[in-house]
Amino acid sequence: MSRQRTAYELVEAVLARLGPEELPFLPEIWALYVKNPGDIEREGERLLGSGILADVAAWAPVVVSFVGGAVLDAAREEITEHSRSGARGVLGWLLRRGSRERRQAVEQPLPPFDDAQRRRIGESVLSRARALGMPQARAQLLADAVVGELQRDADPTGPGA
Amino acid sequence: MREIDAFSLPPPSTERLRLLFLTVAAGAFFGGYWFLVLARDGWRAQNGACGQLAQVADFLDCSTRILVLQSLAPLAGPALVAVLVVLAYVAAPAMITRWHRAEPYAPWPEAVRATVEEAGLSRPPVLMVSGRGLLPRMFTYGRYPRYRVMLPGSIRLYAVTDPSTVTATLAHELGHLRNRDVDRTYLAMFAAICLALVTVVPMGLSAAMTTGATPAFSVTWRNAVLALLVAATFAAAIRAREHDADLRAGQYRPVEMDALLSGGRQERRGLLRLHPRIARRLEVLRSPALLMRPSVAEAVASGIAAGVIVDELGVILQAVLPVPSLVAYWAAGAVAAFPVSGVVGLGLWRAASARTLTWGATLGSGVALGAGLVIGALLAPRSSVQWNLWLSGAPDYTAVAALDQILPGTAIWMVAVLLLLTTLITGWLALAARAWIPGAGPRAWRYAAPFAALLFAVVMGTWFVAARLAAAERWGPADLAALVITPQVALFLMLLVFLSSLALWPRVRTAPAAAALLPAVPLVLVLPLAPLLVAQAPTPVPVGQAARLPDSTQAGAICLGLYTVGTAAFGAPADHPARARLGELLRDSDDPLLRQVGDMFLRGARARSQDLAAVAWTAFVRRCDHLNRYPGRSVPDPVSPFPVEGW
Repeated sequence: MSRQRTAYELVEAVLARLGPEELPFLPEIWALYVKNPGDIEREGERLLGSGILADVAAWAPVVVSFVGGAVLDAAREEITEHSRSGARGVLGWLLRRGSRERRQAVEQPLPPFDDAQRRRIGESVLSRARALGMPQARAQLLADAVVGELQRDADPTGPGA
Repeated sequence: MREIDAFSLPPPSTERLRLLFLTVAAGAFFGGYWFLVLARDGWRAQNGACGQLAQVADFLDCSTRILVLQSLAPLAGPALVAVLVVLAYVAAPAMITRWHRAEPYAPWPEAVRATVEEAGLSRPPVLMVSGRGLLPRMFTYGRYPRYRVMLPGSIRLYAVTDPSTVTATLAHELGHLRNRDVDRTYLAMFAAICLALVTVVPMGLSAAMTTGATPAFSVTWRNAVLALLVAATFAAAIRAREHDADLRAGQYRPVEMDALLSGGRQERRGLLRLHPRIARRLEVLRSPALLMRPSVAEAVASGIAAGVIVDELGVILQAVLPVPSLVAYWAAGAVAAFPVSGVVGLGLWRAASARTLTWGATLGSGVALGAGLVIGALLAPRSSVQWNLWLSGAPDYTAVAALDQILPGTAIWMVAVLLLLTTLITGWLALAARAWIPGAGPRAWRYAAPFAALLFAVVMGTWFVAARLAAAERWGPADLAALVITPQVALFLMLLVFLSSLALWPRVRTAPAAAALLPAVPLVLVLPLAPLLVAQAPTPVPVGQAARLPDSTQAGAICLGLYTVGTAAFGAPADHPARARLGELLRDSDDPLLRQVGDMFLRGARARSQDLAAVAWTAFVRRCDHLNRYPGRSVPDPVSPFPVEGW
């Protein structure tokens, strides 16, 4: 069996399905996301900005943010279950939320997801995209692409491969 | 339909920011007064030293010097805020660049280059790319003349996938540069923050720790409202500047701006909305005339800020300037009147130039402005509270305009007169706009603005002097009018009425119906004087007070009588026998300085000198004030006239 993909590789595959012309910008976008993961979902008013959340055609930021976020959330649960050897309480909470864990989750191969986890990830991506005002058709397209790529991991010979 | 040029007149954000600076200055004035005068026991040692002087002339010089210094010392408050603001303003661009780990954006895509070039800026900004930002959010920063636009870290992607969003957002930011509002906005933001950090919070803590619950509450709620007013004014200015920038961008990127606003969503608001609603922005972009309507809320806020400023500044200028009190208050009024004219008057003028001005909006603005001034008078932290009730060292001088001490009938008349006069001025502005704009265009505003400011200054200054007098004594409306409107003042007011009527001449020529209204203008302006004319009271006397002081040699008893009787003890302007009686009484007092004051009164009465009597009266009041606040060993406590033993 082939090795498990990392989160970045999964995002890259999803973006290749949705907007292949944006792939050259992915490393840059990914670096921005890792530095500040919550940026795209921070909707509060910026004092000196224009105050407009523009509707954009680019896929890369939403793929990186929503897919990366949903998959990493699921993967993080797996990783922290394994690595939770003694760091509990406030210290453990801080560590789990820290950048080190995020970097660890980003660089490590993703754990295998079962059907239920894949469905949850797809629903999470869809709901986050809808919550941020993405049109239903576009949000569904994104969720389907993610679930399709995850499915491909589970069944490399399937139709999505 | 005629094309509306929203930029033929100054944008409204400019004057709102100016008003905000003045409000911050007024708040910082009070901060300085609190920490440097009130919290230092009113300079008890220096005042006590004045009271020990042997000659009344020296005592007057000494106490005058302290009053002037106490008026100037609070300037340290605004000075400190100004220094901090300038430091923050100077450091901000470098700090923003560093925090964003930003680098210059190069090379510029063709669409970006075209957008910058078409903005028509004399000096193009530097485009910076942030080390963060997944969404196409931008903002402008920097200092004159080197401005920068911060682009998101993902700009290179968006330049390919969403070029119209990039150019529209960039055009909006460049619109801020065209409107020259970047420096002002950052300065205003730092001023509001510094006011909170240097004045509002420390003063609240200081009052809570050093005074009782009542004065602490009195300080805190006024400070809180002042902070809220500053925040609301800042938010209003920010909202106005966004509309201005949208319109600027729409001038050369109309399709992209329309698409940006049509497809965009609103950022989630916090406590105060800092940006206009998207739907409203789109409406304004498509129909700029919507922006050219006067706002009642804006008029109220301007009135409150102006009320606070005139009240605070009037006290200072009256002590410092060598002019009559009324003129000092007119000067204080002028400081606030120009921004008020720029906000309220300009709103009316813009509406008139867009032909959207209605009489309802005109009258509403005038009434709202007057109401705001009354609220400002109630809020002004330094002068609307009788601090010496709670702080023994506080100068009586501060109890200047506590509106709750005015007779109810007088207060109602005063409020009615103020609302009437502010409405008359807004009405005059509306008429002047209709008279001048057809011939001279909207830019005739540059001539109307100073004259409207002069009218506002005179009305505000005169009203606040009257409020101060009415709060100090129980004056009736007729007496108050007689006190404030002296023959010279009446002549000046008539001149203003004449000039304002003359300014409407172009309207009279073109609209005969308006000519019929002209004679009504002076008649309406006479209304404030109606109580005076009806009562025919040429010599003001406080309502229901006796004019005699207690026949005692004890300084404490005489001064207690002065507090009870008030200025009625001074008598009418030409009542020299009353001054002679006062002099006889004081000459026998047990206080050496009061004895000298008695001699001055007697000399003034013999020479029939009003000036000498006025100086003697000042010395009398000030000496009693000193004896009350800084009792020394030389003044014995009043001896009870009743037996206290053997009952």
